[in-house]
Formats: sequence, structure tokens, C-alpha cells
Amino acid sequence: MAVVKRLTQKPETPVFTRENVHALSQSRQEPQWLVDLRKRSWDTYETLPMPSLEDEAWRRTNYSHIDWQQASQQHVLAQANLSAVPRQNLEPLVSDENTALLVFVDGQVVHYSVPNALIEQGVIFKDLNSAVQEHGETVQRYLMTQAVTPADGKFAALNGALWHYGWFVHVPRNVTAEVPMHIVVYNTQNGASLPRALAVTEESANATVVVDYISAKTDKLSAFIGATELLVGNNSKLTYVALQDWNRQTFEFSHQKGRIGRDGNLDWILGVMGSQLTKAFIEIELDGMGANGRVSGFFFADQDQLFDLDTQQNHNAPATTSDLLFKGAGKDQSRTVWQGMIKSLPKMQKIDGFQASRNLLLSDDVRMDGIPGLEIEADDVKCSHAATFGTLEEAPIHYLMSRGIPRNIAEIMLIDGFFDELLQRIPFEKVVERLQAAVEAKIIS
Amino acid sequence: MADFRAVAQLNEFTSDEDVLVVNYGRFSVLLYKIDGEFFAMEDRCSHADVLLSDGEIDFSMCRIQCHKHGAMFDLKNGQALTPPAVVGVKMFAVKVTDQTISIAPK
Repeated sequence: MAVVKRLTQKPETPVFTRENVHALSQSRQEPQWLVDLRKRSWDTYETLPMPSLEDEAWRRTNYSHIDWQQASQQHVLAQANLSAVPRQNLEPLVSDENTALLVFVDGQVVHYSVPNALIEQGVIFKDLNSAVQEHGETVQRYLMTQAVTPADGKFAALNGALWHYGWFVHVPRNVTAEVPMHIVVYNTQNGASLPRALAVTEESANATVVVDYISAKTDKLSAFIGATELLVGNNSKLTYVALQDWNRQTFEFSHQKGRIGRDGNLDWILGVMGSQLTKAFIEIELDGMGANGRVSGFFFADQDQLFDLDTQQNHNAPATTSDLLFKGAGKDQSRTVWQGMIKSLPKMQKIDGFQASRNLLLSDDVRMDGIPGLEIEADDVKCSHAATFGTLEEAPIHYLMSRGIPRNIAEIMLIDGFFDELLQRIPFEKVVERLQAAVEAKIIS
Repeated sequence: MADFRAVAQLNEFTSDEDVLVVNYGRFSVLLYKIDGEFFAMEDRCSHADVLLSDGEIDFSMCRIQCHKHGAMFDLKNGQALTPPAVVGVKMFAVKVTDQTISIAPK
């Protein structure tokens, strides 16, 4: 009779303790409401088991090889410097100049600039620790109250207890933010990074926020355990762009959720290119009639990367619209998983929900999974989903080569063509250029 | 060139019926012996990603059966033997140096 023995020599959970939570709050002299919020998050964290291959949402993602001793290490950091950030990552992505720019290196603010025009409008664009001290009541109203809460999962609870940096964007009622807001998160050290992002547009407000996540090469492992909360008020519009290109020693576990009010509009653009392993939950909640959420996801995995992107479109009100398109490529021995669900509550009629995952396999050993789902409890709706998989066809390559185009260029052109449908949804030329450059770099590597 | 990584020691096999579950990066891998020769197979059913280590391993018939839907695979080459699996399971090359067992993707 076979005897199965599981060998594991590494800690199986991040090496944080309740004392870390207490110490963090004390060092920041945080208000009592936040101290209590962190404690409750930690309590939830302790009650939840680590996700495993036995859990449906995690059964395609084995992360048991992580050395949490390394990956959840907390460094006592020397003063970080803006000069550490590569110049190209400080270039503006959605406008000609970066006038509202917040830059973190290893969780420390190294640059903060905000134009007077934004301040005069009453827009808050600030690192979260400062916002807690200076706009406590406003932050308390929204932080961990409606979007990502500790109950969402083990890593959400961990972030709730131990987030140590982040940013807060708040646009008041009827205000259209004068300039887009750009945040750069750059890590030079290995170990734990737990940021919290909170963006709120009040009724009839309008804003654009762009976030760049990048890290330098390191020899040791890192864990990025992030939470993003996007609260789009009635009749307001938020365009949110998040581009991720972590080093190959990084494991990302993130919970990201947008809530959209009546007639609100969220245009959410994501790019996933880096990390060794990314497990991201990306959800939109359409809470009011007329709410519209559009999610455009770009990913390209190579070598032994694993991207597991779990999306949810929840129609919680009638006459709401969601449109999700994820397009990605994989090569070498990489693995990508997209699991998506469109859900409507009972009696939520006249909803229009769409989701599609389109995948391009560029090697014999790559594996890509697309698992769409619908859970619809109303009968007068329009909901559709699709998942497609393909490889580069020889006929178009041959055609281009017959026109004098070298094979490798022909392949790049076809791959660019594959991504074009997604890139057309991105209204910012420089973001498109960044993603196209990433595609070329991945193909050539 | 194959990237061999050490995953176990010889003395962790205390009988010929032992099956060790080890990690090669993000791959969970079953390591076992048949007639004194080591084999390594990805611990994942090719049908629905279920852990094969939860299934039934029959050394006498040289096969492993997934507990979820009953697919069977050849223990020596990972070939799918029965539906619902139609694709084989990934196998790893195994090398023993001194007391250390190393594996690499084939």
C-alpha cells in the first residue's frame, strides 16, 4: 500500500505576529479607530486558514514553495531615495507632465508633488499614513468599510492588519480633478510589502489615477500583499490604471474591488507582466441603477511565471452594465489562469454583463486556463461570456515573410495585432506604448 | 540544460511503497520508486487539476488513479490510461547524487 509523505521544511504562513500589529500602530501614533480596525483584521486573520489547493479559488495555484521566512521579512530601512527609481517609471503616463506624483521606495515616500489647482479643488491626493492623520474622519468613513474587508480572505485580513503604506485619493462632489494622479511603487529590498490603496470619487466627481508597481532585481524572495479599494459615487467617473512589473522573486497576493453607485462609471485597466506568481482577486460591484463597470486586463507570462486572475462582476442593481475583457499571452513553461464570474442578484432585471478571456499560446509547454461563469437569478437580462485559445498561425506569418518581413518581426506584428483589441480600450497613448514595449521585451527574451 | 534541483534525501524513503510529495518551484511533484528506479510525476490530474496524491497509487499495476473522476495515469511515463483524462501528466527527470535526489522538468 502506497504511503504518501508530504515534505515541507519551510514556514507555511507569513511570519507576522499580533505584536507586529501593535508595534506598527504605536510607531505611527495611529488614532484609536485605526488601532481597533487593525486588531479586528488580525483577529479575522487568525481565524482563517491559509488558502490551499483544496479551495476552489486556489486549486490551480500552488504557492507552498514560498519561503515565508524570506518573503515576509520586514526590513529596518535606511532612508530611501528617489534616485533609486528608474527614470522611465517617473515619466508621465496620461498627460504631458507629472504634476500630481507620489513615489514610494520600499514603502517610504520619496517624492510628493501636487499642483495648487488640485488642492484648491479640495481634492485629497496623499499617502495614506498622512491622510489618516490629516483627514482622519474622511479616511475612516471609507477605509475597509465597503470594498476590501478582512472577511474577503486570509491575505485581505493580513493587509487590513499590517498595511504599512498606501495612498488616498478623494475627489469631492461635482469636482473633476484638474490633473491625473500618478503613483509609483518601487521596491529595492526583498521581503514584505503591504500597501493599501483607497480612491473615492463622490457624487458627480471625475478623476484619473495611474499606479505603477515595479521592483529591482533581488536575490531573495518578496511577498506583495496588497489591497485596492475603488469607491465610485453616484454619477461619478473613475479611470484607474494599474501596471504591475515585479521582479521574478516576488509573489503577489492581492484583493482589488471597485464599488459603483447609481449611474457611476469605472474604467479599470490592469497590466500584469511581472512576479514569479500573482494571485489577484479583481471584483466590481454595481450597486446602483445605471452603474457601469469596464475592466480591461492585459497579461503576458513567460519562463515559469504563474498568473492566476480571479474576476467577479456582481450586478447588485437592475439596469447595470459590466464589460470585462482579459487578453493575455503565455510562453515557455508559464501558466496563466483566468476565472471569471458574472453574478446577478434575484430580480435584477435589464442587466447587461459581458466577460471574455482571449489567450495566445506561444510555446508547447505553456498552459493557459480560462474558466468563465454566470450565476444569473433574473430572467430579463443579457449576459454572455467567452474564453478562446489559439496559437500563432503559420499562414499570416508566411504572408508577412513573403512581403519581406523577417519572421521574428512578423511574429511580433501578429502578437501586437492580437492585443490590439484590448489596447483600443485604453485611452492613454503612453500606457499603450508601455504595454507594447512589454510585449516586445517578452517576445525577444 | 535541465535545471536539476535537490528535493529529497535517500533516507526519506523508508520503504518501496513510499511516495514523497515535493516542490519544484510552483509544481507539486510525486517522487516514488518502481523496481529500484526513481520516477517523478506532477501532482496534478490533467483533467481537472485535482491532486493525484489524494488518489490511489497501485505499484503492482504501475498506475495512479485520480480520486475525483477516476482518470488513471501510467506511473512510468505519465500517459493518460483512461478517460476523462486525455492528456498525460508532466514527468520530471530524476538524478541521484550521493544521498540527494534531484529533479528537473523533462
